[in-house]
Amino acid sequence: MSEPVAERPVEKWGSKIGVILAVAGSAVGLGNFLRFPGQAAANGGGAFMIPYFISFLIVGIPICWAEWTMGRYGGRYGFNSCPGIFSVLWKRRFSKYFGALGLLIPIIIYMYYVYLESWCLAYAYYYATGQLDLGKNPAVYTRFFGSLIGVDRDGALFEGGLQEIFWFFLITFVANFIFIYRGLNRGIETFCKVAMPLLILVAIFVVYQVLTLPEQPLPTPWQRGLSEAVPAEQWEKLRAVAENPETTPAAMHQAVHEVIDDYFAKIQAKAEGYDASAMIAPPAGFFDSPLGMAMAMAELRSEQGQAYQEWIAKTRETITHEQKLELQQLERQQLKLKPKSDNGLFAYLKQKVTGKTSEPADVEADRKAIIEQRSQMLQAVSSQPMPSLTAELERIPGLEAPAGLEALQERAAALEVSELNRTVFNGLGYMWNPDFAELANPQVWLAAAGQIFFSLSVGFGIVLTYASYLRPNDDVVLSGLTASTMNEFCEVVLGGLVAIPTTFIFLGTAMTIDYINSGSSLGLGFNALPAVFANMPGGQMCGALWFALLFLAGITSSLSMLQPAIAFLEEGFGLRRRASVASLGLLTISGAFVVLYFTKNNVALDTMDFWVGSLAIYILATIEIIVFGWVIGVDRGIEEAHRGSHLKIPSIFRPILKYVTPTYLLVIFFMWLDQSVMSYVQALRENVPALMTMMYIGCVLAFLALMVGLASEQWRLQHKGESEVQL
Amino acid sequence: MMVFSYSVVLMLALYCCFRVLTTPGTSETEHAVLEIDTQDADPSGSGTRRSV
Repeated sequence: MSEPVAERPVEKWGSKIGVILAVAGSAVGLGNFLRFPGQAAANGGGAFMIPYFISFLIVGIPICWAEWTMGRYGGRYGFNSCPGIFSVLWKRRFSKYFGALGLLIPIIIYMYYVYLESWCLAYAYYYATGQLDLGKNPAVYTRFFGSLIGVDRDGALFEGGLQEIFWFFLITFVANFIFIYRGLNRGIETFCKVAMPLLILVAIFVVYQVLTLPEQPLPTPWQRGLSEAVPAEQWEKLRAVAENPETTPAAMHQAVHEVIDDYFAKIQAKAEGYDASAMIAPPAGFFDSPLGMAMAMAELRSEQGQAYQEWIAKTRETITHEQKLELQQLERQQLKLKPKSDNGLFAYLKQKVTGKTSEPADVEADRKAIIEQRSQMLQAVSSQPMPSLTAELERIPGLEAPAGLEALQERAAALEVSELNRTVFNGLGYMWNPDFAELANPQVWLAAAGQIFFSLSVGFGIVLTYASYLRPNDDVVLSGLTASTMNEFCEVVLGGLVAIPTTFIFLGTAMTIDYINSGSSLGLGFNALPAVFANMPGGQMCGALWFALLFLAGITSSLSMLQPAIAFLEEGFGLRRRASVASLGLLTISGAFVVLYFTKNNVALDTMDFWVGSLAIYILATIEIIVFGWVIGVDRGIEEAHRGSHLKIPSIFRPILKYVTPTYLLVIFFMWLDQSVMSYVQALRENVPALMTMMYIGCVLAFLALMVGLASEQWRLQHKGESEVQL
Repeated sequence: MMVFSYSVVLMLALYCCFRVLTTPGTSETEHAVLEIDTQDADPSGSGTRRSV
């Protein structure tokens, strides 16, 4: 690969296709298949694609070009690490400290990314050994996944000895460091040139399987279906709890979950007396709340319960698809009711300075309007009045229904009758139908830009480092655009068709929303896809192949995350490969243990993913584009980008790079500060593991800043970066 | 929205593939991130500097 260009054989189409395959292979990562669908579904569905594409065109591509160009430029001065490259680009004493972010981001993301990779490895292993043959009930896979990664409580992976997933994590972690120690060009990238296109082919096959899935039956609520699925005595015991006048909704909640957990455990163990084919799903969304439990209790206790069930069944037959969507929209609106003005930084500061509380949003009036509209719609969709359970609801101790018992029953009924048939088209509709009201929320725009950065790996510092190894006349414009575009192909075309539609089809609306709202959308592919594989011929082999390739895609991404820090340790402190890899290993294992310990609802993982995987890359990308457009200057920057390029940057990108992109990023950032930041800060204050994770991130940042200071002193003494190096 | 999204992405992907396939010299100067040889890859220190 290192011989002079002139001696190389005449270029053939095969080698050019090899370039495209290599670029596509580099672009595929877990973010394409696991992160993107969850982000889209949680942020307005199809409407998310508007800020997403705007971010891609005016933020993703420009920053991608800027990073490739700045990285190659820094490499000419002998720097491969972010702090070094920043010190060349911006001749100010403080500039190199911005580069510390370019070290922090990939390091922190690696800490949780490697854990995600180990999930893939574990699933590939379980499929290959036949241990993931749990039948066709998707809820069993959900339970399996939850127990595997210890989502119920912190420290679950270390209880009673180290759990299995820990060993998969360890294998993944060590494999990453072996690969990075041996060097990428010792086989992994050669292997990936074959394996990653294979992943894309397998993804296309999985997409085909998803699109041809038959309609799945609607699951039965526990109060109606559990009697058929569990032994009679267990059901009678649960029914007695429900009919006990002393039982509170909270006690009912606990009793139901104990029985359902036991049911899934028995199914997994293939115990006798348990019907594995029953489509029992654990209560989700509203039905998993005390209010939902109270509704189930009233249904079991009341003589009207049977009539209520019949009313639900009859209304489901007459309600139209549009009416269902309208009722679901009302539920979504109700879930989002909260005084937004209290979540803003500026409102908070104003309140501190003036002592006055900010103007509360008129939440109560909105809630009343929703309740009234829902009531009218329920009357419109059914020819018969709904049998009332309010008399029984009144007798339930500890039930607090702020909106009233009638509204409570109407909400439950609306959710049941509006449950969409579980077809592929409804799943795609759930993923892609736009909710334009979401566009007013800066959080959605921030999430869209964050997803673009995450999947394109811009704003990470990774591209800066890799581009620094290029020759001065290597192309960066077409390379950057092709890499970005291939990534979008994998993400939108393939990723958008897999996780969310399958989750919707097998787990339903409420559980999909639960997953997404709890921030655990990364796990969607592990919950629903096994149900797809269970429903297809050769599913076990396909499952093993799919997760093995996904694991490989993860490895290729995580390896690139380690390189910026390795480059920094080597050029900042003169460490040899062994020492730099060992140092980085120690640092990253400490953070990985934070992720492995705080597993309840994946709090550490989600904290790192938001504050670093979304916000920090956003900040670094903003700094980079300001450096490119204003410090280097757009004209000089584009001139540098055009050196050896096969594609000229269109002139429309001059004002975009200089004005539009920085303004866009800054406006969204300040809008986010204005509207949402305090809710995140509040979440940190209320959640100790999240706060501890945040403190850990702060400590790593401070440590890296110190290291950058020390390294820069070395560079100053060596006169490094003062002139171009001979290449 | 889905049709729009797919159209945008597919058009861009086809354009890039077309440019890579029809522009002379792309296989020498076009690089995927994974393909870029980091000079310090060899533990023995004999990595090939700037070879891609």
